[in-house]
Amino acid sequence: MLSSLNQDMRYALRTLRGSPGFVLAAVLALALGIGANSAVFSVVNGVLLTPPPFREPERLVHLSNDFAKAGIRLAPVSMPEYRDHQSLARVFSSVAAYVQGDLTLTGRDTPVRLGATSSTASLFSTLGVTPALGRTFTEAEEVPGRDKVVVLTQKAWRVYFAADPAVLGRSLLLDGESYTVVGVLPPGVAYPADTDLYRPFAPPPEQTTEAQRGERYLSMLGRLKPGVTLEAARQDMTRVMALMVADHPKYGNGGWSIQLRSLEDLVVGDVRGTLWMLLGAVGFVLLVACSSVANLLLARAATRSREVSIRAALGAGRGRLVAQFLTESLLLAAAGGVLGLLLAMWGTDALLTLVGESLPRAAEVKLDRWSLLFTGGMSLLTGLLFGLVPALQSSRADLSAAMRQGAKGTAEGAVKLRSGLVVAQMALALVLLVGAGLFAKSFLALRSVDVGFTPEGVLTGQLSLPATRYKESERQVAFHRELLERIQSLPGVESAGLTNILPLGGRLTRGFEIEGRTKGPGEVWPAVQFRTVSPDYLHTLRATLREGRMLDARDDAAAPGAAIINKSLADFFWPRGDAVGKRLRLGNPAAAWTTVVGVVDDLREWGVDQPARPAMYYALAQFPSADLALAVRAKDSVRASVEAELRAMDRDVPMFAVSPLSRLVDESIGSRRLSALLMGLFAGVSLVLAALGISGVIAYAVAQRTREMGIRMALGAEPGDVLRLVLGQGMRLAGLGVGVGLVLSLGLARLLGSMLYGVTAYDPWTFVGVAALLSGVALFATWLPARRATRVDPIIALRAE
Amino acid sequence: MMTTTNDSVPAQESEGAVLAGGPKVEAGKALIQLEGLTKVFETEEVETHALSNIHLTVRQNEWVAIVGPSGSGKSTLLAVLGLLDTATRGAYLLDGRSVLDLSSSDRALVRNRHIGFIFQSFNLIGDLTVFENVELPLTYRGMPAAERKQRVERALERVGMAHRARHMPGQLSGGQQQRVAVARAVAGDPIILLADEPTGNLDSKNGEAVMQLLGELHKAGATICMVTHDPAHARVATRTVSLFDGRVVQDEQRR
Repeated sequence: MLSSLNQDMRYALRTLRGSPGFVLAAVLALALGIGANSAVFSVVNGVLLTPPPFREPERLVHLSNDFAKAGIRLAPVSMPEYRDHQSLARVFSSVAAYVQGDLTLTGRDTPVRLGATSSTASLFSTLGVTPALGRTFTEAEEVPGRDKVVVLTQKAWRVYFAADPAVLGRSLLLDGESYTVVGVLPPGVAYPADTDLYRPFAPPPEQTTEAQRGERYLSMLGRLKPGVTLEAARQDMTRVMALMVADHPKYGNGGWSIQLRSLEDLVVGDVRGTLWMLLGAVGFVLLVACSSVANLLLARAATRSREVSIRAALGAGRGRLVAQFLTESLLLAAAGGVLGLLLAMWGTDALLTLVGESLPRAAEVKLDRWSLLFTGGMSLLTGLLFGLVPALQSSRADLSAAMRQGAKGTAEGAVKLRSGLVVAQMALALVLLVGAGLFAKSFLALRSVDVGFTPEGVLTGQLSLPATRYKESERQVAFHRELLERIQSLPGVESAGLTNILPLGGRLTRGFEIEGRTKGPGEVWPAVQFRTVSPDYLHTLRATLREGRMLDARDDAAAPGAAIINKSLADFFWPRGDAVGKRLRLGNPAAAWTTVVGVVDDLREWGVDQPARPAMYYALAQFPSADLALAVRAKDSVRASVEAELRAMDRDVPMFAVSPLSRLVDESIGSRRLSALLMGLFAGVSLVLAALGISGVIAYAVAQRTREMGIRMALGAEPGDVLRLVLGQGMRLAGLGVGVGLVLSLGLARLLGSMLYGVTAYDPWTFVGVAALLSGVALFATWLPARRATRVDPIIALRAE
Repeated sequence: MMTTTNDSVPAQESEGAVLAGGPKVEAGKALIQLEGLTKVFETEEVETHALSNIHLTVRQNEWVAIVGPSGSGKSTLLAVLGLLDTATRGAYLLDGRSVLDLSSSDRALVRNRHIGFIFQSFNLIGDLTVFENVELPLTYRGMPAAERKQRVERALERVGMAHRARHMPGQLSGGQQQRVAVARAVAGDPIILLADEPTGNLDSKNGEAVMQLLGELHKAGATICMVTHDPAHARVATRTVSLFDGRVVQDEQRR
């Protein structure tokens, strides 16, 4: 057995060495297929299949508030709500609350912004994480004054502290306050993403009172008791909500609910569908590649049919012949797998670069042992897939051919098989082309959406003023004013502004009242997004003013409250266009009234593919904040000079998350761009392989029919007649492929529906266009060998026998 | 002399083995027995009788030349004898065992163990060395490497090609290639050699050399069935079977 395998291997290597062109074509096609599959698999594996580094992660759920009627989804919880869940829920073994933020690490050469999550001590036990070094914090430290301890993530420990074990007990200056490092987490643990360190969540007592029930800013995580299903937990949450509604009139007439999502759902979100779709699509590419190689093998086998007959005549059984052919296939697949692995290494990096930060768990994506196993398995599977059918076909030796001189392998079965493979290739290529066409149209539709602002030419960055030195709002306002004055005086700067949240930067809703209006029974007002902006902010974004005026320098802290609202809000409450001059009051009845001074067109601040929502833009000077985002519209790159001005004002205030606004917009549609790009790439590769496939089959058919062509021409056929004959043969295959492909595409398109924007899954133009494109390519691919057929010399052809 | 095909032809006595070391066969024993063998090729419209009601017995150490004009069924008969093709009707006993209804894999086994082929166009595999070509049927037999080596070397020495063992077929002349093909045919000690126009692709000098080689094998005890067009080569054989339109029309025992 081993001896046979050894001989088969030696012989296979020798015969393959003798056909470098064939080997190159086959290995390249396989490497493309295997490499692309391995690259996409490594992403799927990292994002979807690798379990997070928590104990029994399937028991972790995220809790959020929902008020669908008002358009509030996945809203955080308030401190009183967190306490209620802790005491009322029966399905959790532990719960934890946290809020994401950032702290600036100073006391070193350059200040560093660190992602800081303030969490209850229970976060670590809920996640099921034990520290790699030191300890996590305790409930006793969830008290103001005792809360100056931090736990570092492994990554932060390595990047900022050179993995120094003596970091435990070290004091860090964070936002001007001293914190002690008490622990370091194990590798990979950073939940929520972008967390560098954890500190105790220690709100002052006044922020934990019942009056704070409507102040929802806490994210909440729960660990289900063993054996509790998500459905059972949801039922329990319905019970809890009913108790809360009964106890607290603030929840009104109902409509609020508690939503539970598995942690995996929360982290991976919408990307799951996209990634599985891409893995399916790239699987199609591999099938096309396998078909191509199978076709090459069949063509090659036809030239070796005599050898097969000789071997069979000498006593080789069919199994032995199949084994011989399969050995060659597996060697090709192995070579394709090795080259594919190299391509996958490069492709995985390229994919991560392409998707940027829009891919959750991107840090988990790597070519690990599972990816290697997948590549190995793929290579083996493809070797069998493309090798088995040709091997079975070829091993059907015409034994008496060994006795005939000049016998050619023109088995009708092989010809049909090759034609069938071409039809399959065309069909698969069409499915991929339809997918690519739909995603391309969807992406173009998104790119052409009027987002209500002009992102091009705007640089953005985040600022965080240290709480110790900028506690008073006057100091914050003074800092904002001076910073904007300095930046606006820089050469090349057109305008600059500050806001609490940039477009696509997140959601923040506030309850409000309208002067002279009360909610009717059962009336629901939409949730309204709350933004604070400096005077020039909306101008910097080039938002369009429809009524009234923009905020300006007059709207300072001493002036009467002023706000801009967007068109959606204006249309909802004042459909007759009389919003300007109306007065609003945020939540607290003791708060002052704010006058609507202007209406701007909607800005799509929650996603290019998301409809605009009602929004209000309050004057920053009247609602100052220590955590802000800067937007600078400039002709040239001004990042360095902006950062220099910032350093000149306060060297402990770094600008972080610096990015052109256009990139933020692009990243918000990153997964759609990835889909369009990859589907385009997959479809392109498949199209080329399908074209080569049909061209190869027709070329082979022409070579086989050379004598027939000669006879036809000798009998008076014009070159045009021969051309039509050959083209007809090719286009029949293409037509069949297109037909099968269209049926397949219609079946699969509905799966894409939820991933498309601005185009239906059955867009007729895409289907027709793709069918025309594929037919055109097939026509060209057939025309090349057909042209050769017209040049057959009848005399040579007649002598060919 | 004209004989009916039912007549049994006396066979020359021999020591038993075709070649030294081969399976022992009883002297004069009937190796091939065909009874009413018929081969019909059917297409949608035409039924062609390539072989019709053939009765033929070949005994051990006979050298049978099968002759006849083109289309007479010579090659078809040889293909059926070699289990490369199957008969439509009739009986075929090889060494006393019916082989007509064997499965494909059993036929491959019989070909490998009991039959040696020599083809007109040599049919050496171009990607294998001379040694590997001769070794090939032994490999299919699952023979241990050491024994294979011994047998291949012995076979190549018999045909005078041992010095070319590492050459590729493309580096040999036609005559040399056919000698290698003969070595391949005898390396497995078959009970019968089937040769299809073994000199057809050779010039006269090389053709004579191959016939001489076959003669030596016959003298050593080999049983040979040889299709040939050449009357001179047919005369070298001990018996000539003439075919015409798929029927045996003459069966001439010479010695």
